Amino acid sequence: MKTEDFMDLLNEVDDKFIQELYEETEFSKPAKKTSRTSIVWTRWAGIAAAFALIILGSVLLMKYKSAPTVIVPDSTQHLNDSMDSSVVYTDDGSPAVILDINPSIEIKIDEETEQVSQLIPLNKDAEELLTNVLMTTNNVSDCVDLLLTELSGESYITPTSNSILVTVVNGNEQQAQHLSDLMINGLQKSAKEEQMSLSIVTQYLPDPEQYGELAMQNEISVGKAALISSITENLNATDYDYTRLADMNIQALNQVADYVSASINRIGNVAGDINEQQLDVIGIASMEIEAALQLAQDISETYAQLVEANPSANDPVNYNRWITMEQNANSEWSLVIRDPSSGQSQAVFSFSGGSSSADRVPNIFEHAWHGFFDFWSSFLPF
Amino acid sequence: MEDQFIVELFFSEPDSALEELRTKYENYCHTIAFNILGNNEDCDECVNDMLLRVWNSIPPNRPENLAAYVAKITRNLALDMLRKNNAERRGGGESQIAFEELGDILHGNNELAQMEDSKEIQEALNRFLDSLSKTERGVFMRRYWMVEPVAVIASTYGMSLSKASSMLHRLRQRLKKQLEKDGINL
Repeated sequence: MKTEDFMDLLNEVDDKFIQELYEETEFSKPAKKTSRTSIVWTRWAGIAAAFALIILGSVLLMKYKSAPTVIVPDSTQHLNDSMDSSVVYTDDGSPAVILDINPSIEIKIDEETEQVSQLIPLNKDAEELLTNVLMTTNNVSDCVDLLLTELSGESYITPTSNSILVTVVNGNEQQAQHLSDLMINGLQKSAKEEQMSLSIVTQYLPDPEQYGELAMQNEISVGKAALISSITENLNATDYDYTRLADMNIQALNQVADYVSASINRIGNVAGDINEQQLDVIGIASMEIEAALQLAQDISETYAQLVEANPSANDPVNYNRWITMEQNANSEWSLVIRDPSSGQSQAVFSFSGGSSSADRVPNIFEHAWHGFFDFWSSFLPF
Repeated sequence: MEDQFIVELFFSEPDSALEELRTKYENYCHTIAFNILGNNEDCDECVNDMLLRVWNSIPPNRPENLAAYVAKITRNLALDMLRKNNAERRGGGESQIAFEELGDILHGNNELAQMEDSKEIQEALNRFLDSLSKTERGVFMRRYWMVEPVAVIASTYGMSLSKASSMLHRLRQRLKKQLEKDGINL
């Protein structure tokens, strides 16, 4: 198809899109009528515009020249094509920041200039993402802004999945804190401009090799391996399914940490969080930690399915998620995830039990252990 | 004056209606034509032709969305004039750049260009636009419907030039993917 034909087809888009365009544009200036005087001015304006373009071009050229190098995967150590969510980092010992969402991106920052020197995709999603980014700057804040725009555009970051893991590897504590601050400030500035609410989880790994083997075994990033260890160690959990945790994305791990009140460094509420009162009603704190972890993962997985089944969930204006414990007339308790815009229950963890959280625990525990979710999912609207 | 009254006025006092239409939409249509053609003389001709077409078409037509109605007529006229100008000489700088950008996602598939019914593609385009956030849709529509320069779009949305370019690049790739998913190979 020729571009002219495509432009013609574009002319026939729904009127509402053209109306939207008209409404957000001001056309207050009177239309210029061409006169001899205006032609003379137009010529001078044309010459001035040509000079402006030359200057703009030079500036852009300089910017492109100073843009960070996006490293192709072949030159990245450990990158394994067979991994969907591959590990690793370029372990040259220099300080770096790894962003994990699902795409995992290593950002090398020059210690002297504090400018981004390299962007390294650590998995296939990151490779694809970085192919699409026109990186024209090496300023940390601007780079992060471009990355966040891309992550948001590709729906890796949405109002219902707002978690980013920032891991600083190598370097001393002071350097790590500084790098972490640079990154967080960049993310928060960009999020504010995009009117997004991020939940940023930060951690510092002075010795990333410590998690290298675990990461390789489970085909996850060192940052994610460290986060899982941080959650389980914080809870003193010993008997749990590591593979299940490793299969969860950063958003889900952030939610699980929130539900079981694991102490991690988090800035901003995680989407799908449950307030403390509701957590008390659910009684998650009084459970054995392994059972609590299981239930937290069940809730998080249900949340993810709910989001997938409801595209409107990405609209922060019309969709807010409520997670509540509700009791029916027969004193049966349900954990309800509700869409308040429609008033409909979207997902229900329903179980009978006593009126106290202590009485309910065994029921949850039992269900969680015996295909609880699969059983109840047959009653769900998706 | 409300659009609905302007349309009704065309049925009773067409001269007054035309004046009202000119007052309300001349600048808007001039902007659309100027982005595509790049010079005032051709734009004035386009806007005058648009007014004539509206005069001839209402009645019998009774457009529900007057802003979209006049905008589409103007854009069509401007694209026709651009083709005519191109046959004689190259022109319309910004539109040429926008056309080249769209070349990324088009395969020169003649079979499709000959299809009589392009409704399927239009529906796919509407679905694509519906799937975008308001800002993304605004950026895409301004660039490829209004043919606004990227620098102007960046300024409108308070973003850097590189960010606007990056967003447009991504949106073109997303459109390409979505059309291919719908079995449409441009």
